[in-house]
Amino acid sequence: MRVKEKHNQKLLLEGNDDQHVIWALCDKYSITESFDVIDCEGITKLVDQIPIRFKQSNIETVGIIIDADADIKKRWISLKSALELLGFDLPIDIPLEGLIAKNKNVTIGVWIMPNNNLNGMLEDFMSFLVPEDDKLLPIVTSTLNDIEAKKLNSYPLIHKSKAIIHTWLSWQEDPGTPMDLCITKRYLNTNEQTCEKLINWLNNLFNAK
Amino acid sequence: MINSLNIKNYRNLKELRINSLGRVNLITGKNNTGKSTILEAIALFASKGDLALIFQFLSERGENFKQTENNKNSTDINIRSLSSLFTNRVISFDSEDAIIIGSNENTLFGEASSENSLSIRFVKYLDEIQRDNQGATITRKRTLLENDENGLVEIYKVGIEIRIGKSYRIIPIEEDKSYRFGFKGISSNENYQFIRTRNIDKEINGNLFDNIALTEKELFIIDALKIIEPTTERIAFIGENSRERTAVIKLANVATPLPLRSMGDGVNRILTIILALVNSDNGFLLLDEFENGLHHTVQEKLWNVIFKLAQSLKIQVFVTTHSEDCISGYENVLNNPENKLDGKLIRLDNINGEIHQVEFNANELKIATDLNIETR
Repeated sequence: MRVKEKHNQKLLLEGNDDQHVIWALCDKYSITESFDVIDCEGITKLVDQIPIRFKQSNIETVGIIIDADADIKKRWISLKSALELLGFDLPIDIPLEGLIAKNKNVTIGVWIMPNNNLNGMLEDFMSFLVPEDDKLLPIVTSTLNDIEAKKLNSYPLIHKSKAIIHTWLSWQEDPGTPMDLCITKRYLNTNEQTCEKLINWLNNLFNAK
Repeated sequence: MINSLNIKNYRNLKELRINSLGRVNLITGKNNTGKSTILEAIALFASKGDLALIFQFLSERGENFKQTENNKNSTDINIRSLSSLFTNRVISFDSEDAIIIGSNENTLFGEASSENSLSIRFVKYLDEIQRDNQGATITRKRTLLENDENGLVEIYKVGIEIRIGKSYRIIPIEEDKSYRFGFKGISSNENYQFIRTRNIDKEINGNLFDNIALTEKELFIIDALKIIEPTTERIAFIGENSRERTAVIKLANVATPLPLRSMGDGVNRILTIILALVNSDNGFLLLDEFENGLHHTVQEKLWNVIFKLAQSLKIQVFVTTHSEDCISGYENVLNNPENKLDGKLIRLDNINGEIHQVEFNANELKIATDLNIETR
């Protein structure tokens, strides 16, 4: 969803779902809205626009949240080389608590979903938030394993975590509730460790000044 | 054509370096960042330091001071006027404070202003006049007084030096202005046209039309006017004397020609721009505030004409704007596969009083427009 931009701090995201989840988390944790949350409509357009974001008038901070997908190392290395061209000195591995770095004028932040360590995506992050004693999640997983064994799954295996979280969501009180609303409706446990790390990263990046 | 631009000590541009320029360049930025000042600087560069132009710029900004009851010292007044050209109105004889306008060059010692840069500065000089027995002047020579920090020489005059490479002239400034207006710059100037925001209808110049009447360039003008008025057939300038001629336009469905001024800002603006363009072959077109009087649907069409004429007449174009529509029209034409010209968008930012430039190339501009990223 396109937003009217009004801040000198930008958070670039791959998609609409990411955007709504971040908004829900900001709302829940009362994170000061000092930055624009921008849906870049895909990883390619996100990476393409990084250098241009740095040329925006009075730009202060650029945050980036991307999915690790199948290979977090590869994802980090390609993003790292793009950022190094802009004058950032970056570590070999992305820190577990998310990256925050400065060049001459601009602060940059990077978070790789789900947790800067594992392969995966936003939906894996969401599945961390399912309460530990949840009785449905094991059934969702075994059901999906079962249909995969029978080759009945239409989804590619790389998107299994999407299938898991959306199946789980559809078995809650109000089937069809989108991911962001599940945070608001407290189906999900946002006190989970990874979630708190993400909140800290957002606050340190955008609201620490 | 200049491939880069280096401006030093000119008005608010203390040190501005634009690393690469295209054939058609668009300059944007907030108020008071120096957009129009860049155009002025390029005009001075193209004119090779024409004094009449310098005083025209000073007059337009209310900086061409006149004698008053309290101050009749014309040297003082002229120094005060001319100091307006320099950053912070500094009156200095140090060559470090000279105005420099030109392109950059890579030398053995790093980047430097190119040989053909224009330089303007205050100088102290000695007037050496040789007279014959009757007191008539035989020779007159002005010698620069450099490096006199200690003020050892007491009797000197103040002048303004206009220099390009090794050629220079010292212009005395205690004399009256009629003398100075005779100085038309170092060597012959380059072709340029400068369209300012003020006095749009006064700028529609019959002489510019006379230069191209009955040539193929007349057709360029008719084609351009059709952007706004598709029934345009011909235009002409009529009037009782040569100083006050006005443009008239003949439309297909109207029997008699109509005064162009009756047609609204858009047509008049387009005529102003195209007349200037077809008179700037192999030179520069400088256009301040592109969007003035133009509806956003017209802007891209006008860019099309500008790009085509810039290519066929080998003109380097510099335009300023505040308008998002102007930028997106520019981007569309720049990135059209039929376009063969290079272009740059340059934004000027004022950071704590210093003006900095940010450059966008065609590809970056395309991404910004496609993804709706603000470049202004």
